Amino acid sequence: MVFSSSLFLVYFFPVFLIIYYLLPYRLKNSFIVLASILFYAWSGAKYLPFLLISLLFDFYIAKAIDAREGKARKHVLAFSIIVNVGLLLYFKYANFFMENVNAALGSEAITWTKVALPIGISFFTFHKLSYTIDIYRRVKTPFTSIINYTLYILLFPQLIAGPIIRFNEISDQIENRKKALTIDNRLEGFFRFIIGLSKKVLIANIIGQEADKVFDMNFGDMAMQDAWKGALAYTFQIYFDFSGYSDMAIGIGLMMGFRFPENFNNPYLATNITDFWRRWHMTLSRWMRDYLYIPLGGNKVSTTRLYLNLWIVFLISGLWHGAQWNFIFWGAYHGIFLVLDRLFLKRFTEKLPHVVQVALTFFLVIIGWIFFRVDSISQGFEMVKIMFSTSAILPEYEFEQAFWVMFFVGFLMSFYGIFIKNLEQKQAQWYNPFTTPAKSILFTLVALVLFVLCLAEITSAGFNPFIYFRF
Amino acid sequence: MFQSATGAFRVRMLFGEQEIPPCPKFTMHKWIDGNFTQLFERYVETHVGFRRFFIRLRNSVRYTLLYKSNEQVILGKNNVLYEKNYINALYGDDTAYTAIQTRAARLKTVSDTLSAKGIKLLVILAPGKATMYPNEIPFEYRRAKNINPANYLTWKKELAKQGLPFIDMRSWFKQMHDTSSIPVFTRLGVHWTVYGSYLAADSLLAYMEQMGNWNLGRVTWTELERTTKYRQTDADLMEIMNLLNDLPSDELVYPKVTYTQGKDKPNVLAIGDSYYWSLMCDSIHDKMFADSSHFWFYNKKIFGNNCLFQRMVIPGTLKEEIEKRNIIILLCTEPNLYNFPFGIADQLYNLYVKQDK
Repeated sequence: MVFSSSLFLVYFFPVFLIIYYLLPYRLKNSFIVLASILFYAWSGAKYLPFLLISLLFDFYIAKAIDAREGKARKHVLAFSIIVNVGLLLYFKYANFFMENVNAALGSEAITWTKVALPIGISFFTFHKLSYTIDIYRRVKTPFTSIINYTLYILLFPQLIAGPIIRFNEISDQIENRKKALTIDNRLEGFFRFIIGLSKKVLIANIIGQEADKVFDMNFGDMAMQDAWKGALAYTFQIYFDFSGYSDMAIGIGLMMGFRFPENFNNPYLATNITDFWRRWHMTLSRWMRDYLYIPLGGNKVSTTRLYLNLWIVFLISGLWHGAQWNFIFWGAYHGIFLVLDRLFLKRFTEKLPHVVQVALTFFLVIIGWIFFRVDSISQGFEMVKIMFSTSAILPEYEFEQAFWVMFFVGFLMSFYGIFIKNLEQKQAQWYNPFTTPAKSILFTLVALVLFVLCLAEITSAGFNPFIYFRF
Repeated sequence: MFQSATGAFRVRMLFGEQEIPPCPKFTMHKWIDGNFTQLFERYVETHVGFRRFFIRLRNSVRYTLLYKSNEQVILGKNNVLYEKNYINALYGDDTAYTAIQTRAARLKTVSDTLSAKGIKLLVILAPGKATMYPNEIPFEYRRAKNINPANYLTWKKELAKQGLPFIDMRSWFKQMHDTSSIPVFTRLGVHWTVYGSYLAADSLLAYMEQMGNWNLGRVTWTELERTTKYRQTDADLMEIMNLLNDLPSDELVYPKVTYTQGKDKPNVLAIGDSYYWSLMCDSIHDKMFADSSHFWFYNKKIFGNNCLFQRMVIPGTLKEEIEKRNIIILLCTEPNLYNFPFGIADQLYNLYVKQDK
């Protein structure tokens, strides 16, 4: 089930909220678990037994880690990591691995049945790892209640696509959030949810149609203008789609009394690639830092090793996004710029005017997104070549109003803060709906209008009128 | 939820609305393989309260802010609306050169055979919307392409070469569209206008009269009503855009027609596409042809003189159906020319020529 569907918006979520608010506090977590299982099973019933068994396994293994000391503790953790990462590797990468083995052998040397990917496996595996590693590190003690543990892993707002919430960030809220169940949080959550839904439905989906048109083109027929249009459209689509989803998850969480960590912070205002990764998919970056980069030695290693570790982290990050060479390339591409930043690039670009730094970083990010979107690395290079090929310019070109309007909206929303100092604090103040009564009313009205527009978009999907209905 | 459950607050119907899917039956197997959830989500989507209003709202917002239409309609410059296949036909994207040559040759053979039985055969090449408004086609559909209505040109050439009687309404309508002050095509519709259809009807009757030496009735008008309120199919593409408010229409002309009956009422079998509809219902087909005349829509569905669907075409009765007619009219608009005459040339060829051999 996706948030931006009629089923979720009109039935599942309103019914869930009504029951959730009516239930006594002690039953709320159990009800969330029940709803989350239904939410998952709706589109992934086939994988539910696997998910529940793996949950049980980790619940007891975390207890085993907690009960042991020294090497035994380490060995149990290692066993847990091997099992969880092994399952992720099997489900997500087995096909990719076998395809490459067969490609290397030059024939269909090895036949195998394709493995289907359980929904949300990348996210719930990271949550399970966070749980066991935090317990190993004694950051937190394990949950005594299996309901609370299951809630952490299955909590439906973040189950399918994050944000990735580290165990230590949310364990206290799972056990006690009575004080957070306020009207203010519910309203703030509702506003946040609507903002996210609007980003996804009204901006990302519409810009995405333009991006799809270009990326579906025969590259031989693609003009320079098309390539730029497609690259820019996808750059805004992925931001509004993903940050919209995160906003919806954060909003739903707030309505339930949880405060999830932020996942985006004006990423296209980044002044270099290092800064970009502090602003883009922040929960993934923090997870990678805490559970991969630091265990690899963090900053306490030789300079060469540090650069290598950074690059490895980004290669793995690329692979985590998908089992395709272009994702690995995308990770490596970002990793290279992170290393270059440390070597000299950051020192050099910092001397440039702020706008130029932002523009340069945005340009590098756009190029990166091309490789993220295409089906193969060679396609990515082909598209980049077209973007800079003067021979591919069409003498006559019309830009459709649809693209320009949405491009302007996307551009404005991404870059309006470029000249504003202390933007984060100011945004927190601007987006706080409770500073004045007038602002609260305005927020409510805007949210309702946006909600109707989103519903209109969502419920219209799939309506294909029959032109010759008269005949 | 409330509106869908109670049906409270009546919402304006949508044009082109198709059958709404029923609620799927739950089975464990269907749930696990994802089939149930997919069908159920579709069911929910189509039963959401105020859905019809939401669809109109969405289409209107998209049109107003983004100048975008829904998926079925292509929105050109100055609110000129198209269907994609009309544009493809104009640029020759659907060329079927060899097949047309074969079909035209077969039609000639069939025509000769039928002629010996006293049955006439007449082909009408109807115009297409994109031909009338080539300059308003959106750039993404026309870039780097030259106008090349290949199938129309091939049919015209082959019909002339084979000596088959045909009326080239495409050229005639194009000329009228470019020069006449009375629209024969509108920006908002895909078919010829009501006025255009009367011109086509009158022209068809005159041609048939000459061809069959018949004394047929005529369509005449002395009064022309000018209005911006469209009727019948004159804004059919705009209707399926399902907006909250109509797009502004050009001034249209609706003749107040009178039908005068002639001495003869030939038994007609018309086989064609949707362009024949305006000649059919409450027009010349109903009024000037024998009561047993038929219209075979795409050579599949049979409609009688009362304009009601009678039955599907039964191939086994073809000979009987053909031999009771005085004339067979084959009509086709540009985007369907690749498939024209909808299989009947081959069927008749097999029936009369192959079997005789």
